[in-house]
Amino acid sequence: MKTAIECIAVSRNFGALAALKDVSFKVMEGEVRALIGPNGAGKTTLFNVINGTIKLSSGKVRHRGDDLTGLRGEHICQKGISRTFQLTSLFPQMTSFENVSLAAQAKLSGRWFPIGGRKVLAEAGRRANEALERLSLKHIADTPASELSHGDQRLLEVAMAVAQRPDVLMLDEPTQGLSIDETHEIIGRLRALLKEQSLTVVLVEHDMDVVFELADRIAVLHRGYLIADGTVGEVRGNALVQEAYLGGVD
Amino acid sequence: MLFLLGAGLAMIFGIMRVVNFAHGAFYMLGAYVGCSIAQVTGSFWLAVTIAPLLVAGVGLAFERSALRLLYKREDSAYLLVTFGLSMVMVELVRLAWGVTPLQLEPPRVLQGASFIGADPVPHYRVFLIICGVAVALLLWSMLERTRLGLLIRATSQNVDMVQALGVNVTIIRFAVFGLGCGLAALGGVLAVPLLTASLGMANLVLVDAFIIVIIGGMGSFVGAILGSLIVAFVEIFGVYYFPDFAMILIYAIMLIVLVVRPGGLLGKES
Amino acid sequence: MNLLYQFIAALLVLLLSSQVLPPFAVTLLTEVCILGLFAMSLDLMVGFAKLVSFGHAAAYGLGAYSCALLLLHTDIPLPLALALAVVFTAVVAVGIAWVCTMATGISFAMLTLAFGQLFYAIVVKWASVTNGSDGLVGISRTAGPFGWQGLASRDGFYLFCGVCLIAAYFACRLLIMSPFGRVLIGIRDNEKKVTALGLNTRYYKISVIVVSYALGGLAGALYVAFAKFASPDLVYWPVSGQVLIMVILGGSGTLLGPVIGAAFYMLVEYQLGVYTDAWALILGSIFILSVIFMPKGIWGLVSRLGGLGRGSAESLEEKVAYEDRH
Repeated sequence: MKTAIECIAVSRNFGALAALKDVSFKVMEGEVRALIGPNGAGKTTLFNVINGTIKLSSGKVRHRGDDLTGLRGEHICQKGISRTFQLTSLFPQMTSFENVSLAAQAKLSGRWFPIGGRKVLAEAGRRANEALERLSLKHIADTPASELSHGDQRLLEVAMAVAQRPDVLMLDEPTQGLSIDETHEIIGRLRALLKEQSLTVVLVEHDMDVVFELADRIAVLHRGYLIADGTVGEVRGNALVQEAYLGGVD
Repeated sequence: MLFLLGAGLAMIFGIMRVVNFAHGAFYMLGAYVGCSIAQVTGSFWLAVTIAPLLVAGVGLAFERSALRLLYKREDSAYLLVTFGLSMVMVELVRLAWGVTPLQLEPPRVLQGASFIGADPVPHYRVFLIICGVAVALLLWSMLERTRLGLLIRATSQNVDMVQALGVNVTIIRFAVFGLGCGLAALGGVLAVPLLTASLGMANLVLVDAFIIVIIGGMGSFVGAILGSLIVAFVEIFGVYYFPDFAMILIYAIMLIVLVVRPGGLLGKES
Repeated sequence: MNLLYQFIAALLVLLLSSQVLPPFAVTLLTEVCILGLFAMSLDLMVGFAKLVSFGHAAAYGLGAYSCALLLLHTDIPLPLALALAVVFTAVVAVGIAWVCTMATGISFAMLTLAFGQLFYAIVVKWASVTNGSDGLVGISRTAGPFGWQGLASRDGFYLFCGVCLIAAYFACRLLIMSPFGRVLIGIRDNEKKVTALGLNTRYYKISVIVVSYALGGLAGALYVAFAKFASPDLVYWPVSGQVLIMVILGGSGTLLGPVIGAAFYMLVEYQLGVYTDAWALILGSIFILSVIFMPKGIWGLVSRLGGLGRGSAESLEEKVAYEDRH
């Protein structure tokens, strides 16, 4: 199996605060990798270092052998890593279709054409419809994004990322703020998505049920350190992990 | 040394991160109101104390009635309304006071000049410097040392958080706005003996203050001081060596600073 | 294609109006076309990319003065002088845009203001070229290509300005409908997300600013040919304020709204100005009120009353996108 993402001795300091300390781990192609840890563990920081939103202080990040270190967010996205946000970030005045269409367009050559560009727009539309289909969102395609329910908005963000046909899909707390029913709904759709096509997914999550249902392997962070790394079973039984979660307030 | 007044304005911009396009207009209004008060009462000092209060009152009235409605909106409404206010105020001043610039004599005490070496140093300018420094220090100590100052700084950074803590954000915004207007007006009155009160003051001071903040850096007290010193120096030397291009020189420096250090020389990363 | 028919229809209306309207109306409408073009050019930045500029007078001035100098010192045909003025404005705009896009929000606006002031200072101080505060006078409209005199006449020039406005409008509509335009609208709605989707928003912003300034420059150049003189008053900062008011009052993000805004502004200035000196004050107050209570401007009001499209004050690009999809 090939390595999709590799982090080598990644550290990130905010002034005197060390948010990440020498974190090394790999994400293999086609697997669902979860990043978990108590609050302040550094999972969002690591997530953002990988997708280029934050620069790392030392270490390297590789994608299929390419060095991503120091590249800006836009470039990393163009290399095939698409992300969603923890706090829903959409284009509120556009319809769902338009949201996803723009996401798809961003990865097409000719995305910047100032005149015409019918072919580009048509292809973007095709990919958008495809993504909406796969996440069962077709019925709300013409609804302005601001009018969607919270759950549908989270799904729409995933659809946007999927429409970019990424090598690696990065989801930042997809179930954030969702009710129990909505969470089950989103897990169901994500599972269906993953069944259809094997995607490489990096998932940051707080909700353990979601993690245990979807993840193949889990990396556990605590206070900036990587304290455990393995399959669901291995991590569940890990004493260090249990202490981290029980010791602090989660 | 006029730029120390600009620094006062710049600090309002930079430290409180509340930028108000109309501040330039309040500066101007302060100047004109001050002139009128001085004409009526014959006293410079009365003008300097009363004018800022009156103008602050006007500003507060506007905040209460119109600006409040805009805090919730995401778009550029606040920016546009303060801009509109600025234009309206310039028009009002024009209608009330006419187009001719107004003069104001500094009081006896501050007239004249002393000599340092061969250069004359007007007393009024020294007075301005002292005022500028005093106001700056007062403002800084208020912001850094008092509880109110803490609340003000917090509000400018994260409104929701402060509200969640149970603080009445509306009153803080109200107070900050009034303070800003009052300070701007004070600057305006004090500037008149040097500059005369004219309709163009509003915009000029705004751009100057902004340039100071760009060069010195947002959010930094010392940066504002540094910025105003740099601009003052460039102004002086520029006028001496390249009289026609002094202003352009300042813009050039601003550009260089922007390119080399986008946050300003001493700015804090937001 | 729907757009093509609209374009032809607009041209026909223009032609008809020149035949039917009395002379003073033609002159007035010429000025409306020029100001409308100026306002529309600003709308491209403000309404579609949320780049509020307080320095658009610089675009006007760049076009005006470069055209004026060309017409005064050379014999080149008018259309060529206009084209060169546009190119010159666009080139300078690249530099301005590059600097201004280093900042966002109010800082961006202040930078545009600073550039506006800078240009004004240059125009006034560089008297050897621009004749300073006295301005450049005695400009004549040179002949069109091949010595065609049609542009020198009032009607001919009116048609020319009308065509420029109409052509610019449809060019802008095409731009908004294109992939580039989609990205722009995305930037307006949520710039951070556009970056997350893998696009360098700065390039898009610079590009739209350059186009906006270029069209503004065209308006300025046309004005110089219209009024036959150029003065620093054209670049004075209130001009930037006035055009922004036209855009917002008329309805930003609609392209046509600002044209209406320009007409409205002129109406108030000339009609109300006869009765009172305080017309600018009244206009400014209306502006403030409209920002607070009427965010979609006059165009929004009119389209709501007229029941366009799906019966709501739809924005132009929503309608266009709908047409595209179905």
